[in-house]
Amino acid sequence: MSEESLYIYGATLMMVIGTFSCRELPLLLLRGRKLPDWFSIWLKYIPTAIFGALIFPDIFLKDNALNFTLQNYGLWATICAFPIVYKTQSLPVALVAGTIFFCIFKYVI
Amino acid sequence: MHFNKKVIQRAMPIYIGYLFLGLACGILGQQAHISPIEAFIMSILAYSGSGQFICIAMLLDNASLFSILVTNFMVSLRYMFFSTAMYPHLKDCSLPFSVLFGQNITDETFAVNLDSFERDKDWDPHQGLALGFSPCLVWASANFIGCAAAAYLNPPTELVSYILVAMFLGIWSSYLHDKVLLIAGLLGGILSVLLSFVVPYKLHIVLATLIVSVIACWLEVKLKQWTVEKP
Repeated sequence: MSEESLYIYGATLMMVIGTFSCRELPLLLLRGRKLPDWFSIWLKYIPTAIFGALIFPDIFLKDNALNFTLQNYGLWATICAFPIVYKTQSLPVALVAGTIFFCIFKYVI
Repeated sequence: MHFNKKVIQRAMPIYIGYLFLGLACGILGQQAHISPIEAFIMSILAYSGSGQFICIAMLLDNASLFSILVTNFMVSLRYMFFSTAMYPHLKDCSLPFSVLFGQNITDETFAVNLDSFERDKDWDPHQGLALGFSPCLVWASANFIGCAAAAYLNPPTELVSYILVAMFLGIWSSYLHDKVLLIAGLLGGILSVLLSFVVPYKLHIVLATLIVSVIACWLEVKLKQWTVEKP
């Protein structure tokens, strides 16, 4: 098996451990006991923080340095698409708007 | 597992959604050099939409397995709530059945199953398992097809990588119910960029998420206590 395949199967194993423990813990150990209140408050902030943490480095950094040039198409496409996506809160709109703006910055401007 | 017409009717919107998301996930996965078979196996075993999209982004980034594990664990924490809510309907089932049922809980299958258990007195865990597992086959097959098609079509890498960002933007927006959540997300993003300069093994995503979510949670709990004490 190639090193790349090993890495991908390793990542699959990590995902299995992550999802399995979260899905089975309430069924096997907690036996349906109520989760603490602070847990639901904490849970509310995880998705927004995680997606912010994923998106920002992707659009602001190129080769590990901040990049605000016009050649950083993803950054400008995201800034233009964000108001529309935020208003509609829709995944298809995000895909279409993001792609259109990216193409405008890459091929037109 | 009891697969019947009623299961198909209730699961149809999930099949359609997973078909398109699965194709997209397969195409993006191919960019991270995942083969169609690997995409299929990953989809069957992990069966987690946003989890897999995030994993692909981290594979593209050459992240360490540890940071993939912790990030995935955090996005999967919501399943704890779903399993807890499902437990009363499963308490008479055997252990292996419960484990299998739990593995097939996703955002969508949980929502439809909970609704079915509450409204339909003929709904049972065997139909529930069929409703959970059949979309998994659609999801995994769509991943396989998307991955194989992308290898054949060879779409422009730069654009496809950006589509993954656009995808995250769309998923992120669905969680932005108020200004506080938006600010938490923006702070998570800024912190993640700053940490990426100093933290090794691509742990900045995990750390930024943990720090921001824990502080936000702590502030909200404190604020609640404070308003109770001084009304």
